[in-house]
Order: sequence, then structure tokens, then C-alpha cells
Amino acid sequence: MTTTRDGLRDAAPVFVGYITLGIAAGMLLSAKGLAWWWAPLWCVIIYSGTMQMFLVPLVAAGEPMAAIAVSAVFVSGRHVFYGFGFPLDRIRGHRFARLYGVHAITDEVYALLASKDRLAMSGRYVLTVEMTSHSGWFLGNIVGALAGTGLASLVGDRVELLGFVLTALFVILAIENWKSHPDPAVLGLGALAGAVALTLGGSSSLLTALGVLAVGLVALYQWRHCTGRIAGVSDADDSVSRQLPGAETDQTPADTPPPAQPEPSSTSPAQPAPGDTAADDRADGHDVDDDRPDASSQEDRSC
Amino acid sequence: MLSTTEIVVAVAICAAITFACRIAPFVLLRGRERSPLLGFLSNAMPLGVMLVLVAYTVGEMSGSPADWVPAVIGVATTAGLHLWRRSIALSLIGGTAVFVGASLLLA
Repeated sequence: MTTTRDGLRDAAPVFVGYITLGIAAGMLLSAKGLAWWWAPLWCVIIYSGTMQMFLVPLVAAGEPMAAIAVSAVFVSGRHVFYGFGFPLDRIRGHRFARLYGVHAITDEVYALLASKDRLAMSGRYVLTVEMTSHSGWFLGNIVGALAGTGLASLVGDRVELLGFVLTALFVILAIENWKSHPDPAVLGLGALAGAVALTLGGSSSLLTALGVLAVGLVALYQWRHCTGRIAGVSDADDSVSRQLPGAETDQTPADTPPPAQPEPSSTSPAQPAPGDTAADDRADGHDVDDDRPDASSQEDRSC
Repeated sequence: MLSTTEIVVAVAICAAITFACRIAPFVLLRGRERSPLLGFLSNAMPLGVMLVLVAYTVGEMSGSPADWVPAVIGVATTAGLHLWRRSIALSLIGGTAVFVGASLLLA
């Protein structure tokens, strides 16, 4: 995961998904009466699928700027959570490269890069993935906006069916992340937060669900910390060495400490036997859910 | 419809807020890299976020409960294929093809 070629290969699914989704976004834009050239402009300046698609009806309806600003906070607020695990420290050199690296973080790019080993990634790889994904979004939007209503009447709503590519990508990346960090309690919390997203629906559901997830994970950490089950200790140390921003030396995977100290799985309810995963997930999810009101107070005082 | 000038302002507002949200974690977390909590979160967040995004994209796409059937079939196919062969291309194309097929059949 160091060359441009690797980046192109790994970003290919996102590229295809973004072309499809970009066509839909571009069609939406011109169908609502906006000039086609807004589409590429928005793609460069905003570059957020949800934000762009959400902005179209706001602009078309002539909403006040305050309403647009509040919507932007709700729609884009989720990006705050993507700082955890995004390998920005792999991009070195020019300041603009790092700023672009931040600008081009999307749901899919985060999903793709967070599932991989930081240490094996080069800055060139990260930027290639980002630029490939960005160009797919850009091209799709232009095609969609230019073809506009004509294409919409030809294919109809069915083109949106191909947007399932992104759902499938998230399913795959969930499995990949599970394989690299299998933690049934996290799986349970993720399922709980997903249920929140499904139940709420609408533009604020994603932010709310991610908030539930973040609070739940902090509570889970506190609970394990206080009960002496710090499952993340070896992993945390591992990632500390990865995240040191000043570490300019080219580390190789061999430099990291081995993932020693496996959990005493027989005694830890957070690490059940493979057979009863589903049952324990639910139990863990509720357990942590019940603990949640205490989470904020637990953060302030040590146990 | 907003005027062209107003759209420029609206786009600038959205872009500024979106970029602020994107860069916020990196600015806020500077110097706290040694926190074991952040280490835990950076390992645990991705799996949780993926599950949320699966639910969110399915919810965005599906209006009525009848639309959920193809989505459930598509997700199950994708997961099954990936657990079986662990080939991203196969899982992606197979899952999406089954979803599109199921959607067209059930529509």
C-alpha cells in the first residue's frame, strides 16, 4: 500500500460508486433548475455528497442563510468523528497536501483507509485514494448535471439502485474491520447505533447515530478501565506509536510491538466464545446502553 | 430560488462549515496522541461507523418497509460472499447485482 497503483486499485470501488452517486446528485441539481456548472464547482469547493444533495432543495426553496448554516452543521458534523483512525499523519511534506488530505475525507474514503494498517500506507497512497474518489464524484456530477432531466426520464429512478454499491462497500469494510479488531461489544454498539439511524431517518440521523456510538464506546472504555478489563491496552499502545505526528522516521510493521497479552477470554464477558456472539452482543449493547448516563460523570473522575 | 450571489454565499458557508468539521478532530487532538482512550477509539470507531453507515444508506434508499426486502437480501449476499471468498470485487458486484435484481423483481 505504497504506490499510486495500489491506491488506484483500492479506490476503484469508491470511484465506481461515486460516478453513480455523482450522476444522481448532478441530475438532482439540474432538475431543480440550477445551472449545470454549479455541480463541478460544488464538487471542488464543498465535496460532500450529503451536503451537496441537501443544499439543492435549500437553494431552490430560497431558504435563509441561517437555515443553510444550521443544516450544514447537522449534515457535516459527523466528520468530527472521522479524526479517529484517519491516517493523516502518513501525508508528509507540503502543507497543501495535508489540507487537501483533510478536505477529501468522505464517509467512503474514511471507511476504506481506516480499515487498513496505517504503517503500511504511504502518503502517496492516501492521496491517490482521495484524488481517485474525488475525480469519480466530480465526473459523475458533471455527467448527471449535463444530461439533466433527459437522462432522468430515460433511466428513471432506477439509476439510484446502483447506489447500493456504497452500502455493499460498507458491509465489506465492516467485515474487514471486524477481522482486524474483533470486539463483540463494539459490534453490539455499532448495531445499536445503526438501529438508531434506521429508526430516526432524515438528515440528522447520521450525526445522532454517530453520537450514540461515540458515547457508547467511551462508556465501554470506562467500564473496562474501571473493572480492569482494558481490552484496548495493547492495541492502544500500538496505535500510539502509529499516531505520533513527529515520528518522521519510516516505520515498518516490524517496528511495532507485537499484539501481545491476549485477553483472558474465559473470564471476560466482553470476549465470549465464538458460538454465542449474537446473544452476547445484545447483552453487551444493553449493558453499555444502561451505563451511558454515567459516562459523562465517569470521564471527570477516575474510578 | 436564490440569486447567483446568494448561492455563492450559501456555498461558501457550507464549504467553510464542512471543512471546519473535517479539520476539527486533528486540531483538537493535537498533543493528546498518548491517550489510551483515543487509541481504543481509533481501533473501535471504524467497525461501529461502518455499521452505522450500512444502516444509514439502507434507510436513505428505502422508503417503505417493502423496499427493505431487496436491501436485506443485498446486504446478506454481500456479507455471505465476502465471508466466503473475501474478494472485494466479487462481494461488491455480486451483492449489488442481487440487490438490483431483487428490486426490479419486487417493484
